[in-house]
Amino acid sequence: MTKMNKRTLATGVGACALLLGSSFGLTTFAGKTDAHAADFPSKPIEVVVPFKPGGRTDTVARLLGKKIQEKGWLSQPFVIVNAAGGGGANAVSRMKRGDTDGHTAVHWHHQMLISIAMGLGNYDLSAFRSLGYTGGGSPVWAVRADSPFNSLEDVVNHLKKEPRSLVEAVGIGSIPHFVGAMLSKQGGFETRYVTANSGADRLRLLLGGTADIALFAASEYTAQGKGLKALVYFGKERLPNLPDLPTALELGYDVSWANPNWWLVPAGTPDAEADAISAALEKAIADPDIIKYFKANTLQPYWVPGAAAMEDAKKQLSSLKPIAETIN
Amino acid sequence: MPVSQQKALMRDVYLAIGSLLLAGLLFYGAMGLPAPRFEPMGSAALPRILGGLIVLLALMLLFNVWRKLRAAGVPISEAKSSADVQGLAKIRPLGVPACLALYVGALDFLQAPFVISTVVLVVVLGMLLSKPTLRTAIIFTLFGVVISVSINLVFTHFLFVDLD
Amino acid sequence: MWEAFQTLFQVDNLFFLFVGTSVGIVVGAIPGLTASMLIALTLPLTFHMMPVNAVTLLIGEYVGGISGGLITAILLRMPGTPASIVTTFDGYPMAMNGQPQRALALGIMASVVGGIISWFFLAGMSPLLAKFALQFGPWEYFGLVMMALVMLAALTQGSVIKGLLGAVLGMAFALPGIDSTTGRGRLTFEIDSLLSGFGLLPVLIGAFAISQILKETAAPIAPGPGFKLPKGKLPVYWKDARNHGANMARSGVIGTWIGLLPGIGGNIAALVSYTTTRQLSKEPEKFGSGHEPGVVSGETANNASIGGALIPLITMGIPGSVTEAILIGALTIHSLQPGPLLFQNAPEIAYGIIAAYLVANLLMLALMWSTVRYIAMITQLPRPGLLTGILVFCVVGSYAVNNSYTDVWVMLAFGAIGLGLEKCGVPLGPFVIGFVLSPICEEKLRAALMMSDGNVADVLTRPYALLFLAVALLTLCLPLFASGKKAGLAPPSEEGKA
Repeated sequence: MTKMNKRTLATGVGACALLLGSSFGLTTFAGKTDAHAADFPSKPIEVVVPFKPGGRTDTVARLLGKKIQEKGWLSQPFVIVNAAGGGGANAVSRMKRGDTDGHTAVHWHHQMLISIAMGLGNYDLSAFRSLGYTGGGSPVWAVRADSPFNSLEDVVNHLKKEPRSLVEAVGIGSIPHFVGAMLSKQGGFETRYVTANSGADRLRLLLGGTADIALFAASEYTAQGKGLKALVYFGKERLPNLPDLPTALELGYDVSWANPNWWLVPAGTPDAEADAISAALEKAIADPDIIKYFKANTLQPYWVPGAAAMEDAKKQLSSLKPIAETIN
Repeated sequence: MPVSQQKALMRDVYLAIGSLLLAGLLFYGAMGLPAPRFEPMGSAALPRILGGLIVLLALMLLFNVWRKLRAAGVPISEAKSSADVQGLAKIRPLGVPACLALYVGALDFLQAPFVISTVVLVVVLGMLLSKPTLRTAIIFTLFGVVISVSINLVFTHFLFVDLD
Repeated sequence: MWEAFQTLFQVDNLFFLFVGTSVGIVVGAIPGLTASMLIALTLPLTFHMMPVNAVTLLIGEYVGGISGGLITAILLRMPGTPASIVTTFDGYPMAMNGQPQRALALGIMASVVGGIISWFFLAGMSPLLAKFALQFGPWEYFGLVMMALVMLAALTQGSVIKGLLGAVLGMAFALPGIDSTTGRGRLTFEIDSLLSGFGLLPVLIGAFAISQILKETAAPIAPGPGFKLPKGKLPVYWKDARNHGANMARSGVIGTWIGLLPGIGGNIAALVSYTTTRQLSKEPEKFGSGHEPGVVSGETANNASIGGALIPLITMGIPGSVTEAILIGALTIHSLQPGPLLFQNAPEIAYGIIAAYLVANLLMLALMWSTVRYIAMITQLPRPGLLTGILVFCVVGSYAVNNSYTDVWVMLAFGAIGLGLEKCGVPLGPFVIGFVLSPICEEKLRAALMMSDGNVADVLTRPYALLFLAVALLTLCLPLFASGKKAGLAPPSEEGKA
């Protein structure tokens, strides 16, 4: 048994003992101690993630939180709270329950803008203060590997000749729908839809032949190996992992979708506290381990400060609103 | 017609009325929904179908009650509860839900501390369900402390779920 | 594969599998806490572990969690997990008839057999089955769920009207929330917390556990049914293999097959095999009153569905439920993406999952078999303490699903609704199952119509979908003809049984 292995085992034993409720003294993590009031943070920072555990937003939040704790960039750990459902309305109400002194934060992505554009929940961007983007990823449009289409041009030509002859797997009012709609609006073509509300659904429907086109995170695409064929990448520049895949911008469509890891706190959080978290996040996203994880998962590590991130989000939101209107 | 059967029929009437109210809510909610856009059914179809089914079933239920009453030829009267329960047992049917609601309300609206509220709940429920003696109070205080502290410990420090 | 077993039998892996399975059983047995919640909550821990350790822990929790649910379903009529709903139908009456140990022992045996049947499919023909399952599009899903939905009618006891009313009311309560086909709110009445709808867990705990507790506390507190614990061997005999063998084999196959279809889940697997067994039975009237095949088919199928669900997960990277999505999350954090490449990139993980699944089932058998006598004693605990404890767990559990007190209120409300319905003679089984099935049914039908531009005739090109719909139609029509005359006249049943 390797050394690493043993340590894991020991952690596990301690943890499991705790789970069984038999060992009261063993606390692995610092509890809520009331430290000096001037010191921020004085207790663990609650990070609300509007999705179930296991997805990208959740994983990135946990990874960065772990790194920040490990390096001591903040004196207290992040505590991830998953509040899925309601198009994010649950997460927002959870955030509103929390403090506005920096001890409550949200980690989200641009699905929030879609929720706002669709009018789901009673909130908009003014409820938040932006801390910044810690990198992000862009999706690809893919077809089955045995599909006759080898480029986006093939698909567009086919759809122009026979409108609505191909089925696109999307969840109405979700990112795949909006990205696809932006592209088809630009290209002047139209697809049929079939409901698919998760990446797994889209994969299932595409591989099974029910759908012809679907959008995937680049990492979902690369994990499938030979089963899928990507036609276009929606990032601003080509992805290093997929150097042969053209971007939509290169192909002459003014469509890009960079889905950033967006960190937010409630509006009204004071500057000092917001800046402290921002500073820690900025350091975390520059950490070699994090960069390695991001690259392996086809995400780009970069840092966009709070105000600039908010500007970018507002711009993106204004381009989503016309599409949201077509759904009504 | 025996009292128990009258009571059962009365309950059928309540059930039918409750179901009809719910169906009304479904129809009302379906009115505000947009017309179908991507497929022919739209959001409003299922609420309307279910509302219709509920109305149909509720009416069948009422019809059955009416038929049975006519067969029996006895006008239905508000059945009197046979009050043979006494003491604590009397307040239990309302006491337990009330305690629960107060408990959740305290946790939700007042953000009361989990451990203290839970101990209070356990003690009150324990006394309500067994006997209001000092002995039960002590036993349930201990029980409450053990379960609330261990749950709190496991959730906050280990599973990262903040219960407060 | 053999190497995978060798890896598995290293001390650390076995340890994690053991811990996972035993914690899973305990958590699965507690009403209010479920397998998927346990897995979600332990996910952060696995980040610090070796990938193989993480996977064995989670698989153990999964198998243990689904199996543990039968304990409280049988003894207290409170399904510990959603997958054990149908086990309450016959398991609890069996316990009330003085056979709690027999019911438990049969349930445990059935769970293990179900697990092993689906393991053979998982180990032997994963790629083939995954490919087959992929052919299922929206029409096929719609047909399948419609079939299960119609089978609900067969589940009703006493008044057919009330059974159907229960199902339809359950379906109605599934309506509020974001309509998955349009992405917009529906029947939310401008209330933000209704946007996420009523969660399955709060509804289930409310309707079964809370209403049961409220009912028990409203009556004078009895000291519990007070089962006797006979000394000696557990009441399972070799002749059970003959009596229940065919049932187990069929239910195991049905369970695996339904588990294979992403998004359907163990509760539906159990329901479909329960109703199938009932339809095929020579004495269908005995179901619901403590009939052994009822316990056997439900418990075989819900465990078998895990093995089925693992098939698309490891061959395609397609999770069948939230639980499997979390498993994927546990792998991605270690930079492992489940998918066709997993067998090449990390064979120790891919085969490790398969091996761990079998061993977890055997561990579950050993653990539950050796403790079942003591498990049965929970019914002898002082009632006030037991009920109070369960109430606290229900509150904590429904809060922890989503860190939201809204869910706790929903749970309390459904406790009251469940109690009211039972008082009026409306069975809760159809209510909860209608609640589970109708959203899938609606979504798939609308997806199918969307895909085929509103052309219903498209279904004619789909043989499997047609087959399911034909079965549905038959199930619907046959009993209606048979019992149509007496349907409306059935006397209003008194509060159901206990």
